[in-house]
Amino acid sequence: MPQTPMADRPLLKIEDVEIAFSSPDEADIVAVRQVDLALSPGKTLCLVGESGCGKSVTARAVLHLNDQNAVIGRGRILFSPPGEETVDIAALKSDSLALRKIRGNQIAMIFQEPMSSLSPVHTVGDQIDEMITLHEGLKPREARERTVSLLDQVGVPGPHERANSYPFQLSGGLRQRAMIAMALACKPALLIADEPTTALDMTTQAQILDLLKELQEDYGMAMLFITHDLGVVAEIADEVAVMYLGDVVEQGDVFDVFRAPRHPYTQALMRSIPTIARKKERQRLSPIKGTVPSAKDRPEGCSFTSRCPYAFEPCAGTKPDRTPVGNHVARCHLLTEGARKAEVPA
Amino acid sequence: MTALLSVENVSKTFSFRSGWFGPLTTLDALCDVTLSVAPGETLAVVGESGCGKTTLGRSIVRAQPVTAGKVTYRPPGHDPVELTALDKRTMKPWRRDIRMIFQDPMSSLNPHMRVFDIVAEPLRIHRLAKGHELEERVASVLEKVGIPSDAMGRYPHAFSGGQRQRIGIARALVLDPKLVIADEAVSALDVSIQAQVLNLLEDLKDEFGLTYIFISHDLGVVNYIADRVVVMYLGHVVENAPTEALFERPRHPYTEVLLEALPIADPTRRVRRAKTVRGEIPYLGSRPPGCPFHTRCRFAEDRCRAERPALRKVGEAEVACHFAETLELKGAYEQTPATRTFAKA
Repeated sequence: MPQTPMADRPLLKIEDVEIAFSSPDEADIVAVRQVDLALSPGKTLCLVGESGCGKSVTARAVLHLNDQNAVIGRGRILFSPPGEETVDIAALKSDSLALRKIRGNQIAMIFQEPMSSLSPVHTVGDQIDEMITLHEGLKPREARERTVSLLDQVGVPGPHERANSYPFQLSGGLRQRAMIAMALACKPALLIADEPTTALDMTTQAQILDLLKELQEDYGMAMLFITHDLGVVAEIADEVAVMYLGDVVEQGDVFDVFRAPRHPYTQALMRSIPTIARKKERQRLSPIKGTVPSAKDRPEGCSFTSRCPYAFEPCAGTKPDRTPVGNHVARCHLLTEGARKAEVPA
Repeated sequence: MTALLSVENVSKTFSFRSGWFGPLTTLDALCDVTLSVAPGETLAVVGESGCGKTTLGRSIVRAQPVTAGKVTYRPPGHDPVELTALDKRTMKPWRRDIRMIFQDPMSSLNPHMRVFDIVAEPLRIHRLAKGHELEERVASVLEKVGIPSDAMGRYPHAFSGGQRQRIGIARALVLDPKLVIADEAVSALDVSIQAQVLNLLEDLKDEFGLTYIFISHDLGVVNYIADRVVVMYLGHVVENAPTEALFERPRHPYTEVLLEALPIADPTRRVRRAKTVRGEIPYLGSRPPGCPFHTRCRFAEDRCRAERPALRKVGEAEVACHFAETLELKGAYEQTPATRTFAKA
């Protein structure tokens, strides 16, 4: 991993960000209420949560890829590429030159559905060439050489020929590989991966996860990895941030969070996935009661209040603070106020 | 125990023309599939996309005719019925016994029908109840799956994904079926909702004495819910074994590959994969000769490329692999059984 003088400086720091979607005939919907994240160079941070928790919106906000009506209402997104000044991406305009220099070049992104994120009318090779010629100013021939070697590196068999195929001619796994090749074209410092394996078959998912890990070591890039699958988190993450209804409720070292989750939501989430265990060790799943409320009905305080089995007086009204627990942090009143009153039951 | 349902040597070939005058192409979605499910059992059918698991489910309920082979249903207290020999009219009474739950709760419910009508429709079609009794039966089955009966007048869009899946389950159960085929019934749901539906399926099974054929690609769910697992690859059954035996010691190299690919939600069990997974699933139309898995198998030899292995008994399992007896394959369970202590801070 390349060491920069400022290796301890986080590559990406999201501070107290709120993202709201406006609509002409409805009140604004606050999809992301409070997100604080820090990602060190070369590390992998997994954002995990159920649908509608705001994990994708957060990730897309880093590159200003959300729809036009999404507004970053509060907070800063600080990006510090190695050897360069720190920029606040939240303050940049989405079509500004400064952001276009970052997007695809220093921060690249891969998506869930490779079929809908690749252009269907251009060959895979042309699409990757475009990236390289735009950001690095290489000549077409040089760009194509680089493209072919990239495709080779991400494990596309017969990269010369495949560069000339259209996305529909490739299988799901190969398309995802092509998209990864495109994302790597400019050697980004940060790769944002939004559920990159969700649409893939199991064995293909395993291959892509392995590939991403290998490439991360080769390129020394950091990864912001969005997923709903705790199994994938356990496999790939250094750090994990658990989101619920627009809030980060718990985050920190992946081993620590999995060993001793302290937020009731994280605990409940972990108890609702079937473990791979022999029959006699198997326990009945304990699902979380009810469903995720819509962002409009989110309580003023902790967003998990309505489904939390331990909710008490301050939960609905006051937002809990970040509380260090062991090697990580969680936002829950039980950890501060009720420390004596009620140990968070396991 | 005699099987409640047995599938013998079933094949299903789809044929289509590309364009009006194009050549006729055939796809063998199912090849010589044999399996059976005992009364009260939960049989899981797993495999990746294109392995034929959905086609198998649809063939059993006769949503489509099979090309060859037979499906026999043995209702308790009745002579065996060969479902594949029936026509539309004679099949109808048996449709009450064999019901299906679908994957996508959004597209499997008619958006123009109220929930009451969706759940009542099977009763009306089979002329089992009307008027007040109809209402009562619908209300009671909805109550069972956890939908308040005062919500019966609403349309599907007013419900969340998990609730819609419950409505789909209610529709399947309203006829008091014997066998329920759940095709990826929890795959589209969030984990916390998925757990609710899995528990519901288990409770209903105990309460109504149901038998399940549980089609899924998620081995974690399968390990939790199934008594026995059938692994399919490219339209073939490659392994059929009791759940614990299969996860402890798979006998077919493809099963090992699937288990290895399964992400386990415990970072301390993170291991570098041995890279048993190679290549991608071949296109169905160009299925290799011999063993369907030989193109990706790390043990493949000449014999595998030439001769298709038949399903045969090895230990507790039925396996279609030439070397099933000698292979030492890796399972998914922890080597030293220790009680897991997640969530116990």
